[in-house]
Amino acid sequence: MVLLLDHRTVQEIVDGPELMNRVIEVIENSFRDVAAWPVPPDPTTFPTDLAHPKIFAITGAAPTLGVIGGALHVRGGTAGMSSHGSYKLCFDLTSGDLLCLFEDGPIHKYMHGADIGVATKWLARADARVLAVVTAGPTPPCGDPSRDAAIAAANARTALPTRAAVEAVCAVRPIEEIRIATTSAEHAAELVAIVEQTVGVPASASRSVEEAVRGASVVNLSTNNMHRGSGTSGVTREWISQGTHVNAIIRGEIDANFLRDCTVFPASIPHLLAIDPPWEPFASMVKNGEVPAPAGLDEVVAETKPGRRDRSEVTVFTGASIGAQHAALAAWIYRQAVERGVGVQWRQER
Amino acid sequence: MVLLLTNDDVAAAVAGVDTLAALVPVIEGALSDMADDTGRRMPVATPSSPTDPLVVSVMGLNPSARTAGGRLHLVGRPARPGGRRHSAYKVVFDLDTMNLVGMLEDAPVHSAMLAARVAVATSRLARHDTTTVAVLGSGRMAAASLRGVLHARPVTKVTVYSPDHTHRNDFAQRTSAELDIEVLAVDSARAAVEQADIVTCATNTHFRDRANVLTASWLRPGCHVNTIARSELDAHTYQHARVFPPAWAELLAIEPEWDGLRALVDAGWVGADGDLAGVVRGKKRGRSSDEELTVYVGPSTGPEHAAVGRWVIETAKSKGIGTEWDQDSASG
Repeated sequence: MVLLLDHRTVQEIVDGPELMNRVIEVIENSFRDVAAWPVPPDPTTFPTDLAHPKIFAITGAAPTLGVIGGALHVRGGTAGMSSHGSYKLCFDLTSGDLLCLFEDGPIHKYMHGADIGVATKWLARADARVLAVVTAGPTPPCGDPSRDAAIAAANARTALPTRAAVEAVCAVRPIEEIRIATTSAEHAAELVAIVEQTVGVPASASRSVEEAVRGASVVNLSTNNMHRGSGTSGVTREWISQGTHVNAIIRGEIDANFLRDCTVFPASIPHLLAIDPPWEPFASMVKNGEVPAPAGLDEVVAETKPGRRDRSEVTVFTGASIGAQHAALAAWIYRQAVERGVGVQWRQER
Repeated sequence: MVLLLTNDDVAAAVAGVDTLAALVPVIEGALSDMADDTGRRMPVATPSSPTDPLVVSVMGLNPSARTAGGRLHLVGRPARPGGRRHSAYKVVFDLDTMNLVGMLEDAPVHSAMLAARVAVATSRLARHDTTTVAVLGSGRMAAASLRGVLHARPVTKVTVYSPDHTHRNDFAQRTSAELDIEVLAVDSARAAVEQADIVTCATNTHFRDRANVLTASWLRPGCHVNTIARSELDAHTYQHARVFPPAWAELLAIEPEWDGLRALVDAGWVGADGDLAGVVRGKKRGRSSDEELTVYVGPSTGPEHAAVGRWVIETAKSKGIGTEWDQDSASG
């Protein structure tokens, strides 16, 4: 029996109370699973060429939840964006049976937010009070009508991951001030309003990236510059105060000089080395021995490796989508749906 | 609306259909797309151990059928007897909207898909005057592989070798009756292959002891070899052959590495100039002489799974088979 959940049903589950805290807990446990799971990760390939339709899966195991599964992502149809998006699914680790399949749009943004929440919980200073957010503005149209429809749809969702990441940081640290730097004043004002409404913390639009990050105790970068081909986020190490924690979940956002002068924590070392294209420049720096062998956040959460060593250390979390986290969230949503008795059952035995 | 097909549904959909014959053009279409580089596919991870649970995903595009999709398969030894009843699925998306249009359990068509892939490879690469075939392996996939060869060439004699004499004798008896052809079980792999025009391998050696099942010196000049699993061929055989995967980029991206071929290609010991997709599309040369040893290295590809998935969905639709999932309904 496979439980099928559509977008609306997943949204109703997600709309429950204390969602971010619960997702952070799921993802935190998933990091422990990643650290303990003996099977090497599958090499995960992320599409960087967004001009063509893509379909790819990111899979992994969540043994403490008794599942193995992942996410099935699709990107851009030839006639525009999918109206249903991507899916998560999980198999029962014991029987091997498929348990559920659902559209993951309502939960996906929380997963990446929770990643940042877990990283901040384990790596940021306990008294972190100022959060800086450096994020991309809307993508300009490219002139191709079929692509511009997809760009417009993506722009409409730009605020969602930023909001989730801010919510996650505020869930684990006593944030009192939020600064937002983005590419347009209009977008910044929109984000300020959204963030204040979501977390109830005073937020302001910064005049520059430098102004936002100087003196901040946590910095969230999400500038999607890899897809835009416009280089790093522009944040330099000199702007970052001692003791700051930086979440840089998209490759290429910070340069090699920055990375050399801080302590970097990938989500997991085997996953870092299995990702294609590599999470550069850090993956090459690790392979070439340019930086000391890093610890993965999974090892920090499992308490087999130390995290932050002192109050002045600059820590960086270089997140990446890990199949185990998709599987864990799939299992969590599945359990919520079973408890509520929602979804459509696909009977495979008659 | 998503069409959902169980194994029973798929079996009902293809009942009365010559699945192998139907799937040959489907596979050729997928390969043609790959040759045009429109069948964009994602690299694949395969298990390195039979006990490790792993969701293997093989995804790609099949633009000529306006399809994206592939296969999701939970592999690894079941944790309890009788496990893994519903663990292999094909997913089918519409290429224009990228909406999910179908999901199916694929057990009833899995062996037919393999047979079709072997049929396409054999028809494009084996000599036309072949009459003898050696089968290495005695399982379901070996039988499917033999069916594929018989579809492509007018074979009159088949030899089979498998380490377990009961298995190989059963295979010979069973396939002789099913395929109406003489199948002779022999006592060694060498005895099976040395008189064969075509050798088709479908073994589990990779998960047993990884011992290669043949070497080039046993093979007749002009032989064509199909290998669909790792560790079956040694480096010597690859070096003496022209090797035809579905597409080189696909084969070289598989993890863990397939039979050391990256190193052999990098060293120039194996030429990466031929691929089955290019041959099917007419862009590349296949066999160049009657003496040439050709090898089809055939891991399945995302575009092929997407194409076969689409064909099954359309076949089931035409017969009114399956369960519809309305993702836009309020019932969830």
